[in-house]
Amino acid sequence: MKTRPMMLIAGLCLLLGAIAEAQEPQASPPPDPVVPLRARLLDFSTVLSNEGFRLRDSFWSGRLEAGKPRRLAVNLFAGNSYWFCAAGTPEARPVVALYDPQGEPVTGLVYDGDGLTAVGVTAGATGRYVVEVKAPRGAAADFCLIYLFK
Amino acid sequence: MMRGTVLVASALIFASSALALASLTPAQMAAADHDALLTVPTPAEFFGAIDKVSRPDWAAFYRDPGPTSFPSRPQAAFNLGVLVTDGYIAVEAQDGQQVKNTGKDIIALARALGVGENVLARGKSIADFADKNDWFALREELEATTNEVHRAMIDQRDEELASLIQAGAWLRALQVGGRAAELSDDPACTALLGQPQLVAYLHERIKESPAEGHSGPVVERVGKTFEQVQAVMTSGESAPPDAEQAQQISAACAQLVGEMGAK
Repeated sequence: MKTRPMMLIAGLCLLLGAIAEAQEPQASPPPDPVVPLRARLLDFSTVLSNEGFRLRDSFWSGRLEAGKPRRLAVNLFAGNSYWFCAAGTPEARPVVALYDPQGEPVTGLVYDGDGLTAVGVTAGATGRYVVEVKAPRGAAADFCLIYLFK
Repeated sequence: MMRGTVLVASALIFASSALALASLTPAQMAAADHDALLTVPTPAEFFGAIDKVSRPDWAAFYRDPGPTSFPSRPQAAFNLGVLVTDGYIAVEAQDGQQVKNTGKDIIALARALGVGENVLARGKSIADFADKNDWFALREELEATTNEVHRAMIDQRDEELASLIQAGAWLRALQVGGRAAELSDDPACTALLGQPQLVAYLHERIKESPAEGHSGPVVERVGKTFEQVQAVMTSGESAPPDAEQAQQISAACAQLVGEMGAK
């Protein structure tokens, strides 16, 4: 006779425990490290937009390991001007370089800011170029890249 | 804006020295990543470059209004891409009414593909910017609209349709750009058609899609045109395309766009 209430209480405790567990707030996902980088780039791009450059509606992001550059193919048109802008952390500011369809580095304007690097060029030939982003030194770091054209 | 201006004013801007950088090997160039939304330029970049060397009569490239429903989704997707480029052509012609008409057709076709809700607000923005003759904003809005459709397609696991939209946009751009270059007969203008690697990439993307089944015939037909265009672009070996090649590229694309636009 005594065991039945005991079992009921034990069952109730288990049920309450399960409900409490279910109601426990879920850990929020870690913040996307690219979001602030992209925000900084968009802020920077307004200056270039005022100069008539149009921002491409996308971005390229990832993680840079020391000594392992990341490269992206882009198709450019002769006579157009472009800015390739990459953001990282101030301690691991990415280095940006552009290579022409023959793989030769393209000379242009370079902007070096706080954790942000940008390269401005006018394409001399039409074709497939490669934009390279690398971490100059140190630990792995996130980066984000945008580009504008005129 | 002020913050940005201060940022640039206080930053260091200087001419880079190419001498400090080593060249990339062909293998390194070939191994570069691709991002469908950045590796593929917008038709606005192509048309902007054409405008710098030749001043085409963009309105001369308008098409007659076509259907906004098609027998298959792949055909509808291809035509959605064509319409997007029609929008860029209307922006180049600075023709607000034509932009609005094209914008309505884009939304109608996006609806037919099940992604109309994603771009409804964009359609309104396109009409508003067209009313204000804000051509700068319109180019950005057209790209944003295309990308919204592209992302919605990817979310729906319709990568093949996303690839066909880009294919349609670029083959229509090559049709118009090829014709503009042919008419200008300016080597600087015809050279802008020298994008065989872009064509190869777009072709690769549609080949990667699961083409067997419902999208087979459309993918096959589009692929055939990509092959034709790529063959013409590379026929001069390393020399950029001339006026005759520009005509061939335009004609191949025009035939495809005409066939795909028929209901």
